[in-house]
Amino acid sequence: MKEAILANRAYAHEHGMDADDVTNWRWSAGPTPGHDGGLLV
Amino acid sequence: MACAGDIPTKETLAAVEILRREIPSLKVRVLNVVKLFALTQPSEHPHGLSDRDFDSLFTTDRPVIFNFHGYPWLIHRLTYNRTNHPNFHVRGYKEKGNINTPLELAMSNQIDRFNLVIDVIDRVPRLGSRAAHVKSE
Repeated sequence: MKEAILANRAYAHEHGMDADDVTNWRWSAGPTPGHDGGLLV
Repeated sequence: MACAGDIPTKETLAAVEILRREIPSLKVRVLNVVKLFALTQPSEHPHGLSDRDFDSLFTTDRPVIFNFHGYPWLIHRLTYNRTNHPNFHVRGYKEKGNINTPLELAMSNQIDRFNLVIDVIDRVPRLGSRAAHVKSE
């Protein structure tokens, strides 16, 4: 995450905008591979 | 994970996506708070949740990372006498920022997806060193 922060800061500094994968990020409903979808309790 | 506000909500969901990918064994609940006064006691505001309802949502003993668009102390003041308040960790506006991109502004105030993932790793005791590598990636 620390490297991701630095990389995204550098990208924003260089391009004056956030990366496309950040700007156009959308929540994709449904299970994530490897996750059982269980609840906390 | 709890959130209030559009950008904090988006960043929280993005953080959860990262957590589910990187630490699939971690069980995460997301609560989106659209009425802030739901956090306070029903005796203080008609929208306030009863202790029973509040505890069922926020649990009584699990870490809660609350991502907020306003000042963090407001959430603490609204929840100060809830059972799980000691486990509340609130991220919010720290008056950081300038002419920034949205993500830069979020990162400056530590309400972005990456800092939230780090917060989760730091505050879930059983993760410990097992998820340390995720913090540095």
